[in-house]
Amino acid sequence: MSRLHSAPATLLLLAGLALSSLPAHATGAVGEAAPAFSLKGVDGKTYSLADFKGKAVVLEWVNPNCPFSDRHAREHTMSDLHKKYGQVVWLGINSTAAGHQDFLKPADYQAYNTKNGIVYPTLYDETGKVGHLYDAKTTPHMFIVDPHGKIVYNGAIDDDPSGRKAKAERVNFVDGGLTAELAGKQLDPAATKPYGCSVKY
Amino acid sequence: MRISKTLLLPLLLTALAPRGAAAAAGPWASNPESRVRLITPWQVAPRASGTGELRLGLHFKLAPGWHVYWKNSGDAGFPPVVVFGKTAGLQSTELLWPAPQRFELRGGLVAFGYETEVVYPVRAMLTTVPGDRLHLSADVDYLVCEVECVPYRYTLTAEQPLGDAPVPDPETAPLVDAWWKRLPVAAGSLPGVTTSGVLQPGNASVTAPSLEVTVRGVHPAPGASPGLFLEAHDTFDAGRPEARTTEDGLVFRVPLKPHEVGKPLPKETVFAWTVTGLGGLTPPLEAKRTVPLGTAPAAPGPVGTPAAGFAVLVRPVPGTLLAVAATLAALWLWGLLGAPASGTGREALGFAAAAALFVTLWGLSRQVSFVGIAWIELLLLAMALCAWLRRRVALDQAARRPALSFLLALGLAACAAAAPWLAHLNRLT
Repeated sequence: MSRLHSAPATLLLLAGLALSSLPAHATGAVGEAAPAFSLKGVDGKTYSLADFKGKAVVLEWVNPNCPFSDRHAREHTMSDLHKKYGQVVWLGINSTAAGHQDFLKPADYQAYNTKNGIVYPTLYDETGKVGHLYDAKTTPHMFIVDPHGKIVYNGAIDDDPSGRKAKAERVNFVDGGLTAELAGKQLDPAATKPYGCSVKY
Repeated sequence: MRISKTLLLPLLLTALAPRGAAAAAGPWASNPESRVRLITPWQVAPRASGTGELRLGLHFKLAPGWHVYWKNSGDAGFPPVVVFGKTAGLQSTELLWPAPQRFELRGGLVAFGYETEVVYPVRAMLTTVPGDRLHLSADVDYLVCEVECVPYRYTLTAEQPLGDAPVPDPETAPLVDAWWKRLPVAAGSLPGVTTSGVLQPGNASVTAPSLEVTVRGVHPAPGASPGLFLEAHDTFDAGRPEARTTEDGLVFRVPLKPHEVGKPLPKETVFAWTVTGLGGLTPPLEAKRTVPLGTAPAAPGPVGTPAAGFAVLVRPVPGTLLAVAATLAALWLWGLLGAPASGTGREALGFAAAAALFVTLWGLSRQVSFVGIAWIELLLLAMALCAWLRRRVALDQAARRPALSFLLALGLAACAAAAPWLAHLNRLT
């Protein structure tokens, strides 16, 4: 009898514990502390945000099967900035769900990166946990984290969603943001509306 | 067979139309996901003397499941960009936006746009056009999405004959007309209809600030689903609107997420919105208003849901405190037959369950609206009632106890399923 009675209570307890593990409200807003994470890269190594304390970090939400990410990869938008700002850490994060048709296995991903000259780490976030912590919405969706671990930019890579402009004519918000950040100046703009494909959570 | 005069005139005009009249629509640009073309409502458009308006349309047909975007695309995508080429007689063009629909995407993301078919109306202003034709050309960039997104770019063309005897096109004229009618009208242009907004700061239970939009003088038809679409804002991201009916109209509450934290809310800011789904003959409404900063957070519930009334009860009480009270009440009742025979085991179990639920509900109260919390509490109370009944029945009708146990477990399962769903539903993303 007592076992029978305890079953619902145990179920309740488990339900409670499961629900209490829901992620805290995500914001990823400028001015907030960048949520910590530790993710495995396509190279098999594990990368943690905490490893880069004291350095500015760019987080790029990416999906090679998204035409926007792919266009920027082919145009070397991100990899050129990565080269330009050698002292800045650049991490690509792919929050595509493991079962989604866009999900790339490590070998394919590494081949894609090599083909497009992408040498910075790309990390798997197939559960979408980190994406939700940052409230990442699109690919690409860019964040700049300052050396103190604070988010100082959240938004689009540039002002040209359609890719109509010549590369030199675009206003690259991350380029401008990194220049300002490294000069100790306030980023302007600090937030823009990201464009692209939705993150495939 | 008798042909009415109303039919005869267009037929005659069509028959007499000059060559090239079929050019009321330009050629389709096609791809596997969509087709797009420029259309006009005229086989022969009226020749403008001075400045005149010519209605055009950017006509999309979309494969099932694919959509294109409104002026605020939502969390992803981007709206079409149309750049008309310079041509003699074309002074200016303006792309207009019919009332959109909402698309739910993976991960709680949303998009605003159109599926199946849409004509984006284009208002062209003409000056005197040399010759008898207007040569239209437009570069169009657009994104079409289903699960995947595909961007396209085309140069669309159309040749519009002009004349002193205008001839409407029987295929495109009704199409252009129908989509122009789907453009929102200024709220102030309808008699008795007004709309305004207030920026409400957050409070302990609704941590985010919110925009409260009031629409007076409208009465949604039964079964109508009022919707609110905000245009993109420089300072805030908008969450999912909740609507409630009032005696004289509607009130929407939209949770807002500031792009930057730590900054005081502006004393006033400009928002633009479109209200849809009013039912009956009421067209979609649009407004752009300077919205002042209010002082009292409000938490209306959804239209027509049973929880809306309950939300009124919980509005003055911080959700967390009420959640704790409801949890303790539920567990107390449940504890009456809560199980292990030994008192210590029962108390330990009760404490553990209470602690887990407290943490759960506290966490949920940060993400879930008052309505969501109300649902959780109702489920808990229903479970407690079930447990109490089970105990009462146990004293005399043991045969019914399995059924009540089943109901109890069902309530728990519903609670477990409802909570994450509500959390998802009420996310600000």
